Amino acid sequence: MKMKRILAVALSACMALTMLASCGNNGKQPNSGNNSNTSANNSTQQPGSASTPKTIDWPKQGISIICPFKAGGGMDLSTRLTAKYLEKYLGVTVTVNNVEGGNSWTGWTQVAQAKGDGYTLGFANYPAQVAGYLNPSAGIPFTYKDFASIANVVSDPNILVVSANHSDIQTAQEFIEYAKNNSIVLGTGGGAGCDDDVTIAKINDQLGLSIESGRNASTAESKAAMLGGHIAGVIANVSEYYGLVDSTGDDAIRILCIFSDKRNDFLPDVPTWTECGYDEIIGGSDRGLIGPANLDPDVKALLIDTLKQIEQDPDFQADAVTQGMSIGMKYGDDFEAFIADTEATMTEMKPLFGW
Amino acid sequence: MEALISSFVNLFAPDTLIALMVGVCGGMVIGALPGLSATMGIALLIPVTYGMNPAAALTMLAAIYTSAIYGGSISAILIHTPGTPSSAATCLDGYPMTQKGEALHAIGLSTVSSCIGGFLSAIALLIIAPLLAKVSLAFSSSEYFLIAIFGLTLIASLAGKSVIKGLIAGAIGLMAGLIGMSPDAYARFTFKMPALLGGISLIPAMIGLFSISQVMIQAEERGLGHSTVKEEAKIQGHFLPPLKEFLGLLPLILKCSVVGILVGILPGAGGDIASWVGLNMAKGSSKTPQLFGTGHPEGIAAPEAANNAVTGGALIPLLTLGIPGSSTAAVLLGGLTIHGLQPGYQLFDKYADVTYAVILGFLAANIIMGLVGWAVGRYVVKVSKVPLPLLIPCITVFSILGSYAASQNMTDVYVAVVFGMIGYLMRKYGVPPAPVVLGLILGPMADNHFYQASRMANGVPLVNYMLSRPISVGIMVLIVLALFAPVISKVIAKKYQAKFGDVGESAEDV
Repeated sequence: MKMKRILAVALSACMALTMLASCGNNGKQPNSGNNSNTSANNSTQQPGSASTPKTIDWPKQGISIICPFKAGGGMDLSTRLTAKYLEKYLGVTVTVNNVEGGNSWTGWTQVAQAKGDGYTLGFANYPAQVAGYLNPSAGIPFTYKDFASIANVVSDPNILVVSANHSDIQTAQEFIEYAKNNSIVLGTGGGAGCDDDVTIAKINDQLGLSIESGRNASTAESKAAMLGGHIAGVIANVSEYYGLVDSTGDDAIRILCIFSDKRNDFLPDVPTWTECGYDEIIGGSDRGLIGPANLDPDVKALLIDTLKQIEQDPDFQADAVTQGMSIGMKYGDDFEAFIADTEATMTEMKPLFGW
Repeated sequence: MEALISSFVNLFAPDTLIALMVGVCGGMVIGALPGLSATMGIALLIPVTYGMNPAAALTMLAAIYTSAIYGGSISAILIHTPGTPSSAATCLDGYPMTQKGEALHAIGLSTVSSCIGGFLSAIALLIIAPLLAKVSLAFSSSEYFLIAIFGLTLIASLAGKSVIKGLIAGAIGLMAGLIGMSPDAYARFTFKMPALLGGISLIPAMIGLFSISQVMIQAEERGLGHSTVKEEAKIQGHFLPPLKEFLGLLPLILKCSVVGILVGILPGAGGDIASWVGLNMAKGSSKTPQLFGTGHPEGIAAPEAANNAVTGGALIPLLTLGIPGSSTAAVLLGGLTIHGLQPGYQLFDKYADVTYAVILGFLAANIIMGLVGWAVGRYVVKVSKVPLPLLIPCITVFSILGSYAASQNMTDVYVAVVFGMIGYLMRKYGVPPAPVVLGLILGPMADNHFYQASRMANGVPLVNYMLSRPISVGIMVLIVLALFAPVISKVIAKKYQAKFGDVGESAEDV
């Protein structure tokens, strides 16, 4: 009897170990869930790290980047792309930690309250972050000044998209004519003040329209609502629909225009808003690397230098193309000035959001 | 079809196969342990899958689901203690068979019926889910809001003995679900604490409610000297049923499998209900109804086919509409979203290779489960003898680790502990914990889609907007029907449970 008991305990211990072990093994898969950016690159420990002008003894340990969005979305992909190459050049493990919820502020709060040693960084998107704290009802006790602005990495322009199966509209002009005569809703990938919502507000303001913004909880939701024919179309980002350009099934789409000062390399046939005959509207999601406000300035300088090298890396550029990510690097003070600008614009627009 | 082929590649990746085996064996152990239900086992193991690729992770979780339901019947048969609530009905004829010295025969019957039931449900999943997913694009916020409301009506069926207590639990879940940022960016009940802006995370809350509260109860019972370990039976007899007996039982097994699949598809009604309904059907159509309760093979085959058939059925609405068909499926929903997979058409389109790998893995799990059961089933029951002083600390450690691992955030650990205490008090006063989870999942879903629908209505009064949408009206009708259905199914379950007498100590209905 006693033997049996011991046997049983041993068996269950094995079970538990097997589970943990299999978890460990599988962590080496490149497309796995959370924290596996450690993969792939271990074997290519990098020439780049040798050329980095290391004036300080940093990093000595792994770095964690908090992404306040769930795995798989545009923000997550941008964060992972950056993490992958930071790992390559810094020679330490860089993990992405997806901390969702609270309109992204659960994650950003963790960034703002992190130690300034540079081992906890974060990813932020604009104008969403600025809108988050400008909205008085949200009661967010932070502003962009509570973060160190390291570098903007991705600059993903807004596009106007309709479903090819549910809409006959072929051009942006037709769409606007339709919006003048009908009461319509355009889906968005976020709530009030996200880049898509801001662009809708700008269109309404410019043309005196009253297009309703869907303020959907996520891109996935607005995409499903558009593909199902429940709304007239969506305002979204290039990377979110780049994969569907050639689709012919239920998810066939038509991209009517892009809200950028020039055409986008990924969508060379899509005209800009200005080319469609309207006054310029520029809108999109800018995603960059941030840290806590007390981030060690030497660490910040080293990160900026590293990112400047990454920008030139052909592998990085190729990865960005695969994912439909428009790279838009802005470093240090330039990045901070850009955020300050965004804040000024958003503050001006406050009445449009009823804030 | 292409997706089906590439999913084979995914399925036969070494890590997926290992995950499948671990899931089947682990599920059997979890099921056989009277303290661990399939729901709780999956809630505990989701954090373990974080580092795995989605196909492997979800295959493992789905395998645990079906295998745990099967494992539960082993302890039901051998020690008259259902390892999971779904196997309570199996005790009635399983244990008498053991007493007659035919334990192995009973386990064999249960294995064969479980495999067939599970296998057929996996086939149903493979055929029905993609069709239903195609329709899912026709659903929008208005429909999802109503579906969430429909889901909330199931609180009554999860409530167990007292509907009032079920409603209390549901209200706790709904209130907890309101904490955090509202869809229109108002901070609700956060008391200016940024940690609460994200709301109550589901996984730590579930770990608290199901695991931590359960070990507290077990520790307390042990402290009071109530031993739950029962006498071990002698194991003898043939494992595989004779062909003639098997052929005689086959029509019943098939019938109960279909019933199980249908019960599984219905949100909220899980394996426990299906097994009672199956047993009832067997008795109604049997030539020898007087033999039930004395170790009748039909009395094992029917509930076992039905409760395993629930698993695939419950996955159908889960994968297509994001509506869990059972409380275990509700926990699996958490597993899906953790791996970045949103239920709906995309699962059968963009992520088809992962989805089909999981479905095929689930199909394979039901076969492997039978083989493993054949090989080791008779020894699995030993696991139910793991002494509580070892089991309790292990589960506690896993619980705390699991809730931290969700987002590497201490707030989640506090959430797990607080919900552990809430769960303990709830169990003490007979309030079922499952409706809390239902409220936590469906509350925010209803909240979000109510907001979206009101924006999409775009000036039209919301009720008029909903009434103008045929599918919405259909769901409204379902809601009205659902309000009466649980009453009926509860009457059935209660009536037969009473008729068949005491079924031993069951794990809490989770």
